[in-house]
Amino acid sequence: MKLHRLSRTYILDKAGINTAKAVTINGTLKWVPVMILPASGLPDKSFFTKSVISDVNDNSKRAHFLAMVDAIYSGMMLDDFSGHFANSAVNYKVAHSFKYSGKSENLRELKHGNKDRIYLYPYTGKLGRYVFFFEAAHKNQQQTEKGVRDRAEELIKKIIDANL
Amino acid sequence: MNNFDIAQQIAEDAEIFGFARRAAPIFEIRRLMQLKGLRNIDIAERLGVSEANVSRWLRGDQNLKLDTVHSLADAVEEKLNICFGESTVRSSWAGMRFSDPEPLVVVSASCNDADYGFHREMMVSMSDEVFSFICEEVEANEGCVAFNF
Repeated sequence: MKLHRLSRTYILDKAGINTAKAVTINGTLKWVPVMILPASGLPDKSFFTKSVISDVNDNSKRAHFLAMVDAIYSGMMLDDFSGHFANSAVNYKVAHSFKYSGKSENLRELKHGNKDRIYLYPYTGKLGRYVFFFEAAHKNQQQTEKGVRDRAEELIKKIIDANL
Repeated sequence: MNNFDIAQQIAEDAEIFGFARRAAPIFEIRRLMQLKGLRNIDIAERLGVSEANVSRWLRGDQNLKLDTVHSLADAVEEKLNICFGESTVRSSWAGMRFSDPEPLVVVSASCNDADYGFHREMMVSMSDEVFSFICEEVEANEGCVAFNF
């Protein structure tokens, strides 16, 4: 498994957002934002990047996506960002839970508006603290789709087994 | 570009950046509150307003007056800086930005401890040396909101 450190600029650029016009917020990240690379090792071929390109494809979606990305990058400057989103316009909640190796693991989602989401997995390991960006989605749904849950479970198991 | 073109561009930018522009200072306030252990009730008491008001302001979706944003900065005992375009202050922050320009590093997480060590080392060196250099190249024309601390 190869990981790729994600910059805010890279993510926004893939969503077609002009990063030169985005508000700048300064600070030091305490979490490392990453995505899992495909076998080819090419970031643009990763599932996350492809989901951003395919699901963040008009200005309304870009607006929601940008709000979520800024919120999580702001949160990643904190040791514990779970409370950072309490009662805010950006929701941060558990999208799916499952048991693995005797522990409960949680897929998280950021949500802004009714349909726009980013699926995440915060992980603390021996090499540091990571926030894994799994996929972006634009869907009107109450429950996390089975496809998302299955993909996330598989990835989370790989991450845990890798013992980062 | 003439004024009509610029007006169209502004309208499009408002559509894309509107939510994030409203939320940016608020998430900074929220972060500072968390760092300082401040609750909504503390902010409300310091500003002489209701807790419900503070809660509404801190949702991050309100079009707050500048006065309100400054009051919130006062309540968390930080100075609010607003700058247009590039500034000398921002240059000195280059190494701290998270808006870095490009994917920088690949961390391998597959085999053994030796592999981890190697890639981790690479990540640190890129972060410390190349990262801050590259950062100076970006964001030259961005506005920024910052709270000093």
